[in-house]
Amino acid sequence: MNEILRIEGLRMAFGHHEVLREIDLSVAEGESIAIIGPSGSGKSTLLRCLNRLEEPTGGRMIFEGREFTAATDINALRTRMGMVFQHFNLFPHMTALGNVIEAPIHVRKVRREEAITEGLRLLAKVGLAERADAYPTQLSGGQKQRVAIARCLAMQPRLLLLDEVTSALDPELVGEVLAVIRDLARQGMTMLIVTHEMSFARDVADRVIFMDGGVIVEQGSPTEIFGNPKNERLRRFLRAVLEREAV
Amino acid sequence: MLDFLNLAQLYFPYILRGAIVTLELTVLALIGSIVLGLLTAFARMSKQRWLRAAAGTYIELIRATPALLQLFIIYFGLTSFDIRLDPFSAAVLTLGLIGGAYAAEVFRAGIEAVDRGQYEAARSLGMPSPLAMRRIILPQAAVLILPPFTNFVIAMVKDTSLALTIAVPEIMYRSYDAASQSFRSLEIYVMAGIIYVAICLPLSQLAKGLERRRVPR
Repeated sequence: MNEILRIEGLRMAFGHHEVLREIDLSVAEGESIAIIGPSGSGKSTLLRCLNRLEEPTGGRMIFEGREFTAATDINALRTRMGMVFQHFNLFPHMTALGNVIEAPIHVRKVRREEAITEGLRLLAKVGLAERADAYPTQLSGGQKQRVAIARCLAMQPRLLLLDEVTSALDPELVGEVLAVIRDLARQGMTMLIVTHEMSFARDVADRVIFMDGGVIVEQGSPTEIFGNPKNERLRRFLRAVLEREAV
Repeated sequence: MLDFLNLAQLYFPYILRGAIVTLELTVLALIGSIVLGLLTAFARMSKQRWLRAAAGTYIELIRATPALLQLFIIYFGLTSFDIRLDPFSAAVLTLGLIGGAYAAEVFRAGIEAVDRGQYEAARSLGMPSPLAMRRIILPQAAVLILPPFTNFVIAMVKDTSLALTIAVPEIMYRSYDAASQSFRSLEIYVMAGIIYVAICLPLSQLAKGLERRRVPR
């Protein structure tokens, strides 16, 4: 398997508060990895560091065989590594289609007609072809998040970072977003998925990573992590979360 | 009443011609304010510490001194350096400098009021910072900025009256002139007031309308 991303000893601190401590991770092409853990464990910060929305305080990052350094073109990196946010962050002054074609036209310099064709195809892919002309305020949370995913895909990223993409959704809207992500996994998109949806992590992820206190405490296949957790902290976390899900 | 109409016939056209000068002052000073205000707003939000400090100093100096003093420094003070501006230019320059400082704060507040996630989303799509600013942040900030900016324009119209002190023939200068010729201060200044209201009232109505139309995010 081709390695697409490797991070070594990644560290991040806000002042004296260490959020990430020595994270090592290797991601293979086509792999979907679910990252779980209690809030404040550093999951989201890890994704934000990879996308350079936060500047790590230490460690190395190698993406597509090239090490990230101060000289790396951060914008080029970001076009290859898409990010989907918890609160969608759609551009409210643009239609759904406008959101999707914005970066292809202005960053990748794709011709407008081409971008529109591709944008409509992507909106159809996330089940929103008929909502192309709607503004974000006219869309439900689930629809907004699907537009946000289409917007990301329009840049043809090699790696998708999904940061708690269903946490801000009404429960009945979670399913439609997860279905889109499941589809992407099936088509071989490489993904790092920070999530609180355990059952989703279990059936979509090739590998599950449990983080706590800024370190990776345990990782393995979903069967190992959910069926036979070794670390006591992971066991406690799963008990708490699964109890809540059962209610 | 008849008396007032007679007086108006005599002096109103004269004062009204001052309105043209007032509007010229306003428009030119506004153009300067917008350019200077945008530059200063971005300097205030810059990563460069010295740029932030420079912009901050400029804003604080303008805010901490009376406009009249600034006008006198530019018009009378600069002659010490052999810079002799005509009254109109000195007024435009001063009002532009003052406006730039206040506009900068209006712009900055608007830009900072746009949700940070918007900038992050734009950047994470590979948009360079200036592009993200132009395509994503500024269009949203403009909607937020427009109402306070309209109020700023109104203040500018009224501030042009300071130019009276250096003999720019705007509304106040001509009213003062007319009043000292006619010895009818009340009537003359009421005429001037009518002209100011005619300029400012539509603007403040516009500001109110914009405030109402603001779409929720």
